[in-house]
Amino acid sequence: MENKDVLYARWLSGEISDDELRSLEGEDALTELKRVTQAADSWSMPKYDTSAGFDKFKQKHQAPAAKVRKLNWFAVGGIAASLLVVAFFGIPYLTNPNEVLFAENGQNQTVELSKGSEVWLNDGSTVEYNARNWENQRTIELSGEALFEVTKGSPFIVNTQNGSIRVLGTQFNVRAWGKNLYVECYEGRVEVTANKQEIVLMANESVNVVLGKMSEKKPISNTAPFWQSSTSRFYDERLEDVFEELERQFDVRVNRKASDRRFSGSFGHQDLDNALRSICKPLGLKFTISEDKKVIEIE
Amino acid sequence: MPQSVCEEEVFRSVFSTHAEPLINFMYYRTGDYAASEDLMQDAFAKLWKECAKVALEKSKSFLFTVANNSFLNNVKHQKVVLKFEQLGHSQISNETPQFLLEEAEFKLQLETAIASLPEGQRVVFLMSRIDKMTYKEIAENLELSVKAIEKRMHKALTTLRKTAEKL
Repeated sequence: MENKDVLYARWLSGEISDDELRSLEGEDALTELKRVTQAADSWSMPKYDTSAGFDKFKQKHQAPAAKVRKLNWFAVGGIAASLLVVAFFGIPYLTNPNEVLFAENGQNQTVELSKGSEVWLNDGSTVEYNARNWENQRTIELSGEALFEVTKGSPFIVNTQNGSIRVLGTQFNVRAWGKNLYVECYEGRVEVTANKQEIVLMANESVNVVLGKMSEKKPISNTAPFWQSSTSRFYDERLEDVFEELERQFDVRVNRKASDRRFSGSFGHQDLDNALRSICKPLGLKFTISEDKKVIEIE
Repeated sequence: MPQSVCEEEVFRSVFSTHAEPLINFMYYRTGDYAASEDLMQDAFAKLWKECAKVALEKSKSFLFTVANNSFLNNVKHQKVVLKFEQLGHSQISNETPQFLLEEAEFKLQLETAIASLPEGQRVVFLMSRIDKMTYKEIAENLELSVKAIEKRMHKALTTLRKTAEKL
């Protein structure tokens, strides 16, 4: 055999047969090699979550200079504020085709979209929109909660997984966590569509959509969403959703049993202990906070 | 115009394709999964920074080379310990406790033997068996000839065969 030094490699890739190998190296060699390869072939490495890995990458690394220069057409349109987006978020400006903005847990974010239209993102929320065609089609995909202030122009549409909101020029807050969609209108008017139901909200009105079912309009007295004054307020909402909001605001994990209880009330975003007390006390629940203040156990 | 690595879609697809093989490659060298992920992330950061200079078809060898270099320059060489997950059990149905114990013992011995292989051989053996890459693919990643890969594989198998012989 001329290629003695690659013999086993060739056997493994099927370029020589078992019989050939046996005649060259003997029965034992074959048995031992098979034992080794069969064992190693049954092993695996952990599956790497590439999409989470990519998000991590985006959060950690700035875009290369070439990326930012690409925005020139955008700046020409008079929207220099887009550069602020990079500064605020530290996310590579990867615009093709959609702009994705994300507010990390524990920090609200403000973004000027264009010509005075602005969006404030609550913790853990994401908006995605097509920056290129923005002037003609002001459409935003929202996951989470955000306050919008919209200047007059082409129709402004916010799509969420539970329904969409269409406006002409106004100020309104959209909360779209889980299966819930809650819209408050502070100025102008908005049209909310969910599950083929439509409703028009005037200033100081709100509507709640739970599991595809739209409630009656309710008046509101606040002129801005509560989360903007660092408070989360709930009206007859699932306890599950309340704890999720707490997790986002304080960037903690809450270990709790599944529950179908409901909660009305509010908590502030300054002090974790106070916030937990505001939720747990009325419901007769007990809680403990871990030493590093990252994990909360609910009894 | 050829696709540029500077385009998000292109870059993302390069990431999805090569992130895992790259981590695995670094794990075979370091035995440290978290450090391997960092090396992978850093290699992609370098690619992102130099995206205008690296052609798409060169991005794979660029990534492997960068990761390898920063490993050589920055990671302290220490004794490598490797652990692998078992994908289900061997075909034999009547697994006696004795047999299972022997299998587990064999796995441990083999992992130790693999960890003690020279680095070059270890990487080739594991890319072939765990990542199921062909010799040609391994050769491309490591920028070596197929023949060189086959030689390393032969040497690795010769050593490991002796481990099996002893048990």
